[in-house]
Amino acid sequence: MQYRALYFTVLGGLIFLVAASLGNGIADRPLDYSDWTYRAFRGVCHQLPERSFHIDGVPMAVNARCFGIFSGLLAGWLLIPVASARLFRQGWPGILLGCAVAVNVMDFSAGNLWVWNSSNFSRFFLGAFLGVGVVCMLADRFIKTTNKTD
Amino acid sequence: MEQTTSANGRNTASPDPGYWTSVLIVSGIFSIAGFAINIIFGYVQIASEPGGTVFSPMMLGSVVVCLATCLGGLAAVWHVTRYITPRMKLGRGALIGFLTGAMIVLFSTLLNELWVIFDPGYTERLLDSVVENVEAMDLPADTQDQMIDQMAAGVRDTSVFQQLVVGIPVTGLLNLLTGMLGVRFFAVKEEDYTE
Repeated sequence: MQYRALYFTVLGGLIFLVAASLGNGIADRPLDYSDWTYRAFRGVCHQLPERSFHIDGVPMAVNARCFGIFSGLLAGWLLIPVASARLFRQGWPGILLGCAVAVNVMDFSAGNLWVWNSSNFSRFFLGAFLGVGVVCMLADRFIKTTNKTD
Repeated sequence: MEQTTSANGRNTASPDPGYWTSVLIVSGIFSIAGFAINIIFGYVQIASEPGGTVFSPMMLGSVVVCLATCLGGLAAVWHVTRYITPRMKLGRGALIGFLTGAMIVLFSTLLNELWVIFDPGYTERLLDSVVENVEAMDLPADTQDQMIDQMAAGVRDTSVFQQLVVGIPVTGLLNLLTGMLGVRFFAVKEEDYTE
């Protein structure tokens, strides 16, 4: 694998991201939006309680779509070391990422225009799709190819 | 500066700390644009009647800003590859992305602090308007309370230092990822070069 230090740095960051996004419920603490876990995500997520999963009755620190994105990023990132470079050679990661962005934009827009009402689970899975799409775009740079001359 | 030639004939230079210019330009533009959008939507929120909709003007503004904020790393890498050097390793893109995210948080925090000096009553009026909107929503009382707490916490005073400490890691990491995407999209592949 190439860029080992970068890979493990990002891995650590993603584990932190997913763990922190679980909010206070996972630590059996009451909801307090002034806690650091909630403040940390304020700039990147609307954190609406009705659009977030709850753990033990306490909303997570991010909404379902953001949690899906972070989970997809982490799941995809964990699979990079066991993936083959040939998987990412055909240009399909770009198509996958484009589709993931498009369906998320459509779902978000349609939800807010009351065309349809997504559930938290559908938002989570669409977000995860986007997270995995981002990792697929980056994966081949981390996988060492045998025919590469350094 | 070391000159190299790419396989496609483009003359390039080795990366140098000139990327700071791109980091500052992009983070400055994104911060000012994000701040302006937030302020505009904030005043629209204050001026509007409570409609009881989940996505109030302030909420829409924050969604637009959060999306744009995460793309800062991508934009900074594009700027470097466009104006400084098309050659960039993944790690350099990640660093540029992280620094851009960190600077966006820094600039945005300072701009917001400055606005409170310019219009001291803004935060209070915005919070009142948001609370009225939530109270007009057709939601259970405990959900309304949670939403009011969440929004009040969002505009409540915290020190600049606290805002930076909690804001930089998440925004920095997300921009680090988009910075790497920027390398993938805009930088010339390393194997395209003849040293």
